[in-house]
Amino acid sequence: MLESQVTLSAVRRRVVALFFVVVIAVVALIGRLAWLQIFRSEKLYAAAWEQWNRSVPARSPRGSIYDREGRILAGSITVDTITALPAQVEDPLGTARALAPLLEMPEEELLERLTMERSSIYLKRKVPPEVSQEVRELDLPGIVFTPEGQRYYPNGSLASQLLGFVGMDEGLAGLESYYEKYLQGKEGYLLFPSDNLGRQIPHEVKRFVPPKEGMDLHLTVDETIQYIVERELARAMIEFQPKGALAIAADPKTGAILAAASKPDYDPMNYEEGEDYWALTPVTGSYEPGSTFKLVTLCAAVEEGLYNEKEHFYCRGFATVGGHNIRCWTGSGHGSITYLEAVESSCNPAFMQLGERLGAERLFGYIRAFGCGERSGIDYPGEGEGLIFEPEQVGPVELATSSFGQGISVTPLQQLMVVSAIANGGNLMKPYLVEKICNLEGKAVYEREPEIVRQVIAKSTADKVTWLMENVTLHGSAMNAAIEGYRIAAKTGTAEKVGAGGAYIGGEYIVSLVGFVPAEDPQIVLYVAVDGATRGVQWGSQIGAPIFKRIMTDVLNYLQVPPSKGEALPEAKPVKVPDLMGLSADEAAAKLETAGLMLRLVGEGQSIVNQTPKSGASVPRQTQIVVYLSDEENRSDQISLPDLRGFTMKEAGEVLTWLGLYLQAEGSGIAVEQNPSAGTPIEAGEAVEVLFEAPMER
Amino acid sequence: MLQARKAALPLRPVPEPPYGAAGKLQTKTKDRRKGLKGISLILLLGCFFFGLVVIAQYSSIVTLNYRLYQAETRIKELDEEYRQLEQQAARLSSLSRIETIARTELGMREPESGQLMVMTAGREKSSSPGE
Repeated sequence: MLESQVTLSAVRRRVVALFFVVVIAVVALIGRLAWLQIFRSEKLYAAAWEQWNRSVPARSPRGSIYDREGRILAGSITVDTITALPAQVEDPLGTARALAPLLEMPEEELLERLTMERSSIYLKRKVPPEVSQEVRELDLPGIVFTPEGQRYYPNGSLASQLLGFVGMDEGLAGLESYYEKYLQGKEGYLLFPSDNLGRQIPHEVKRFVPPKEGMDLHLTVDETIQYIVERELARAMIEFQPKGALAIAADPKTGAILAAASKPDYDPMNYEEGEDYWALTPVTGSYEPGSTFKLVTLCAAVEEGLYNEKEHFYCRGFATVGGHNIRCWTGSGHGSITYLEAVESSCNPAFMQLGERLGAERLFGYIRAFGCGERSGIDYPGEGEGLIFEPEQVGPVELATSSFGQGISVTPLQQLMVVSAIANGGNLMKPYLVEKICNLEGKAVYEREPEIVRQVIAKSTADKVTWLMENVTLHGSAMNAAIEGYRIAAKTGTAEKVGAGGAYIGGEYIVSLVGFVPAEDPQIVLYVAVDGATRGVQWGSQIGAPIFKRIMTDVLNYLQVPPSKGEALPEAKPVKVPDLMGLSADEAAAKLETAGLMLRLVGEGQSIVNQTPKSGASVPRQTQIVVYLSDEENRSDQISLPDLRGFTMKEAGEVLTWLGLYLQAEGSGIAVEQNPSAGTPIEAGEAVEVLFEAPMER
Repeated sequence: MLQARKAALPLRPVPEPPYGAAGKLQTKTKDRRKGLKGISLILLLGCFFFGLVVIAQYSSIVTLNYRLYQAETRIKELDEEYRQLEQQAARLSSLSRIETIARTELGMREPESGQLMVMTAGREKSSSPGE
């Protein structure tokens, strides 16, 4: 009996002991679990996370770029990047063989990538949607797709130098580069669980962390004005066959750039093909300004009280400075003229005289105060600085040449800002291209206000110089820039080109024109220049002025600027066509310029053998006088077919009729191609096929 | 088996409590056990329903997450569609394309000089600002 009681009690004790052991073990396990799950969880999770997961980066869609009216200039769409996860590729050779024709890549290169000891590798980035779809349909193991932003420019090459372009991941030129940190968003990624060999665990949840989109730029540039400017530059490239042409326009009251372009340009979608044309020359390039720079000297002289438009000056055709004879552009000289006429006819010796009166210190003080010789701080990469003499470098010759724009170099933007200051009453404005930067919700995170750098001249000085510039348009070298109904203040320039050795290149010029409209309440200031024209007369009045006029006519219409009120309107009185027979092209241009007519050269030779309209005919100002150049000794019954490129259909028809030929026209716009080609001997009565196109189609 | 062992043990007289007290004690114990059982049952049911509620909540969260994911995906698709349409609209409204259509399909031409006339309401006299 006692034995049984002992046995029962022992069993109970053992059960209790076992129970406690189990309880302690369970508590210990729970404690350990709690320690790992609660106290150490974050650290362990972080340590294990990278082992469990593989990630493939996904780039962010870039922010868009809009013009000042909210029209898109550069945007992004999503396309696929094809990535391989080598550990998951079951048949590398078969996969390479299947992908090679679709991705247009060599099979060997694909095979090499597919067998790399890496968790993931790009096969081809940013493939077109149809290619991506074809690859998807193959359903190849180990091939994954990640979305990425693809840049597009809906207007093709329009504003290409201004906008710049984007490489695979970042902006490489223009505003795309300058505002990279705003445009570029935050990178996202595709995340998937994997085993210890990096293979994707089937049926596990893949996670895509979307990239954060970049911010949008809203420019000061107006797409329509930019288009008008580029169209006319493209036309000038056909018409004058120059090395290049450029233009830049701004709102003179704010410094906001409305358009900027140079030709030739490039297509940002194929930017590798246009490497020589990536730069926006109006901002990055600098050269001798020529007569447009006389405005700085004029402003300084008026401000200092050293200019009187009624004062007389005698131009002998040159001025002797420091023992050197420095020529006037006319060669023969202007004779006795007033200082008003000196401005209208852009007389070099008269401006040398003004420079001498000012002295080097004052003149160069104004030059620097107008912002020449230093960067304006515009929000664009690679801005040019120009080159201005240091005070200790300025002798009498340097002073004389600088006073009419030779021996120094400035950027077109600097010249534009000088004229903007004249237009707005004397304030040098800081130019800018981006008005605001908005986040994804459209809220502005950055907004720019117009900034006055300094007041350079008094308002009364600016008004007087404006009036003088108006006279240049009414009676002087800028007559061909006049637009009926509007008061226009403008100044022409013709600068000799400087070669690599620092010497002038004979016969090569940069012709330009700068001005603003309407003179009484300036809305837009424009600078145009044509570099190294090979057709026509290389004068600002004959090349720069018509381009300026065509651009401004359309811009004023687009901006709905009402016509000016006042007596300064150009009169539409007819003028008599002078006799140009036997003259050289330059002599004819000089004669036509004083009459406010334009010269169009046809043929090649030393002297004019025919002209239309004939001398004595009454025509409106700015009428184009077509002259036929030839060498008398080379004349024969056969006609050497002239180059018709740049002619309108009406002009081409007139010229061919005049030569006894027939026009077979195709298309619309300006002549861009002809058959037979220019220079081909042709007999009277034959037909010439001419293709006409809009300049921007070229 | 236990019954058999019980029977094998020698019987010992167990002193019995007085009749009345024993009866009350037995009744109290029974009542307490009933109460405990009731509470346990309620707790058990409570835990069960609580569990059901928690599971239902989790299920609801999963469903909402799923719908949220669907909505986000849809937003992404619509964003992309918007971008594509924006691109298409910009391409179609590009000025060079419009000019080409105007020239080639509509046969439009630029006006020649003299075809445009500027109408001015009136002209006022102005003088040189320097004068």
